[in-house]
Amino acid sequence: MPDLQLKEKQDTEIELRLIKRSQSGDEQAFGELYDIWAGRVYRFVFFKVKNTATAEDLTSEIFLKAWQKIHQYKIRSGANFSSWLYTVARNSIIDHYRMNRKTEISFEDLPEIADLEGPEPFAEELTMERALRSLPDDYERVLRLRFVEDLPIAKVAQKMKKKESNVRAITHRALKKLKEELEK
Amino acid sequence: MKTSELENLEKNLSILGKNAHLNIAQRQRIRDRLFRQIGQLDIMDAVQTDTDTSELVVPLNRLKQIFQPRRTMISLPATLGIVALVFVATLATSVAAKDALPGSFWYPARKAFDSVKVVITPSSQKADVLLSIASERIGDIAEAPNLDAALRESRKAIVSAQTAVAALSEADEETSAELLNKLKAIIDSQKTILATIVKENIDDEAIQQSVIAVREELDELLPETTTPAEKAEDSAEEAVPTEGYVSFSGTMGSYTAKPTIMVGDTRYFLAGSDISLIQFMGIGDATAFGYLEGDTITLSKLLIGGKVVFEASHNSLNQSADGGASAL
Repeated sequence: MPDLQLKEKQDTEIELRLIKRSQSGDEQAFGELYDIWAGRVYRFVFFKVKNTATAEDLTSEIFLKAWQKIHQYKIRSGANFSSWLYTVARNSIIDHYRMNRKTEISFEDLPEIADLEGPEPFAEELTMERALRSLPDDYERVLRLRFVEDLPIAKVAQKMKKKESNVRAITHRALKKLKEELEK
Repeated sequence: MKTSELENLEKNLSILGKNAHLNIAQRQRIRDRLFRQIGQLDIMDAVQTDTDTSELVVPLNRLKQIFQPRRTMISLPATLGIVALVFVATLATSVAAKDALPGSFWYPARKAFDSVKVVITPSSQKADVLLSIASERIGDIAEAPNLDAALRESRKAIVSAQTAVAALSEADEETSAELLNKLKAIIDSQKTILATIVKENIDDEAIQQSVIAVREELDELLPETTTPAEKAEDSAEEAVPTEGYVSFSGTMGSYTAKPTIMVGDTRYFLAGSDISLIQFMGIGDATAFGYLEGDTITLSKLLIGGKVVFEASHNSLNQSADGGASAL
């Protein structure tokens, strides 16, 4: 058996043991499951809510629900743990939207069947990356500096060696172009 | 293009940024919050189901283990401090829980709070904390709506404290001597309270029996403090009589539901009294006059605090001295 496959098998076995222990009320085992899955769950949530504080709140809520419901997870049902956890996460996000009706509800952004190990939850990241790369260099750079690296306009202007008013104009045009690319 | 569309696009771009990745501080922050909530669920479950303290300590110990994860990212004391603060904050919201007495609805929450205090206290100070808890539990006895529950709780607390003191005595002689004195003071104060309870409930046999059981356990708690050398010295100075008329001063007590007087390390059963002697349990200033045979003194007179509380008639004393039956 190749090394990679062997490691995957071992990881699955470890995870299975952690799940069983968590189901019998072992909070330490659940802490280890949290360590394994927290990063992916948070990222999935952040993609939906695009806000750090809300993503943190929801991640903690998702794991709390997972702890309360973990006894319902059937190890032999065929569904892997990440699918189950993803369902808990997805439902929590829907609940969050329902409770905060001021926020635009976008259920279509939530795929019906997916798991946190597959590419589905993070598909929009790939789409966005592709669209950004297709932009002219100046447009791509200004959008990355301004919104990916989250720099203020003054800093972006300094880095691009342009006036702030120019940066504003380029940003506006770049966003318009990005929208067109995403709609293609 | 509309402003809202622009704002959405800007937000969507953030998914490529570093905020989309959980950093170490965030990971620990969420972990802390999560397990705080799980801990609170444990407490709420315990409160709702009236879980016994001994069972509650188990989830709390598990809670402690959780905060010693394999991937600890923030120092352990800081994390435990957070847990402690949360529990304090949670329970402080309810004065009822903080001052709850045995038998009341919120009492399990108060016990949980005490357990958290013990769990997060360093081992070297645990005995001291347990002694304080024992002292508080004794204070509850007089006010508790459920006397039986209060007695049970105070007894449990004293036993825990005694175990902690004993464990510490192996490691640190000086500190343990100080703690032992504290334990002794606590046990003495409980004995005094027990004596008052008995006096106030002289006709209630159930309470009397509970008190006797508690007292017997208390008597077993304190380790022998006399050294063999001191004992030898004592016995050389004074030969202890085993038969004949005696007058012994000591502390009133009970053993196997019978009244006793403790003279030094020796326990004598008291017989021949037509009044209940249980009411004097715990009183140290007692003098018994009577006929000693084996380990039993058939009383002719009993003084408590210098006052005569029992005096046998000549007939009954003569009957006892001649080997006749005497009432307990």
